[in-house]
Amino acid sequence: MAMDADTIDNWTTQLRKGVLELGILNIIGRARIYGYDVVKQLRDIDALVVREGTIYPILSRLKRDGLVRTSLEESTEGPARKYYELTRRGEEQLTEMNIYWRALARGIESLRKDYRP
Amino acid sequence: MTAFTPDAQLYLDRYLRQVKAALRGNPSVDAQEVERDVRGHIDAELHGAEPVTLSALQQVLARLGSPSQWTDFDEQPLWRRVMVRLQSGPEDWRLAYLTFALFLCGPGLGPFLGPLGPMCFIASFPFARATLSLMEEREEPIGARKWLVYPTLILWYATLALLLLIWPAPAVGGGLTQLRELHDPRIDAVLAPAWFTVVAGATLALGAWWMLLGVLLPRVLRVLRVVFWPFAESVERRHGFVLAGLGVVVAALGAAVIFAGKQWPAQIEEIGRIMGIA
Repeated sequence: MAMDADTIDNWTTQLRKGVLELGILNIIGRARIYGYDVVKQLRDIDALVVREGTIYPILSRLKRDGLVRTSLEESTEGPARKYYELTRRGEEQLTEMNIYWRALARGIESLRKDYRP
Repeated sequence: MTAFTPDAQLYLDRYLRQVKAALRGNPSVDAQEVERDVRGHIDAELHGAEPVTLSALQQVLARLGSPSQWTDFDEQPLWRRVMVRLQSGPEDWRLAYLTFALFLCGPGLGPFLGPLGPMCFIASFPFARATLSLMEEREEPIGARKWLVYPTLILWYATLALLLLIWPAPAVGGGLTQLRELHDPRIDAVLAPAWFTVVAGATLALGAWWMLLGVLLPRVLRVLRVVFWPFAESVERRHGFVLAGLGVVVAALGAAVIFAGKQWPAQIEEIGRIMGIA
């Protein structure tokens, strides 16, 4: 039976929510980064970010959970910029999340490849 | 700091108000921090295109999306979830009716409700603000619901504005009257003619306060718009200059009255006696 539009919407919203956090942590994990640049990098992945504003509450939550820390740096283009970087705890959690993601993606892919519509 | 055209600035203030309202009380995020991040985002997006026009700002805000959709409904504070459920959809009048009912409860059912009456009346204010806030989030015009929501806001705002504007007059007038009642000859010599000095002192204080408020107004414009929302959105810097100008006139009047009191004390005392206030 085909999924209707609402079901697809709900499913993609739920999926995106968890994956978005993983995407953000991976971006911050590469290097210390300005908050706005996190949004710019995610902007290129259409399926991941529908509303750019959703990223800032996630960043705030990650900070509150002790996975990232912030520091302010003066900017020549305006007010001081807030930079994000992973904490030790954030690095450990990201490693675990990436391992889980790879296992999940492999598993789903193995199921999907035999699917004949 | 990015410069905006006046209409864009108003639109931005409204949006940031929505950000705060949507995240306030959410235990998993720091609303102020997110607001600062969003400001930084807007600055970064629009830097170099100043003054930023309304349409340019709207494009950026459209990509950011409605703040009410940034977090899960279940993460939102209890009071907000209750309000949203009370006003479940567009054109929903329930919250507006409830606001009006609470507003009427105080004076109408006060004798029957006891202390609940004033509490209902006080509660009508946050309910009115929440109604407006939810309608603004949904970009829904208030329409005829203003007749249910505005009465409580007008009453609260008018009281607050009046207190804010005139408090120095009774404060200084009362203070001078108390000094007068000490019947100390040295104080009486300074205050003479006493009733006139009390009036003049109160007028002078009022004028000085308006001057100060007028000068400060451009700096506290945003706060003023938030406190007296939605009625203060048309208040601009120039209104501060008008208030300061009025303050100068009133203060000058007070000073002139003091001068007249010192120049012609006998005549002033006589006028006071005729009026029965000396």
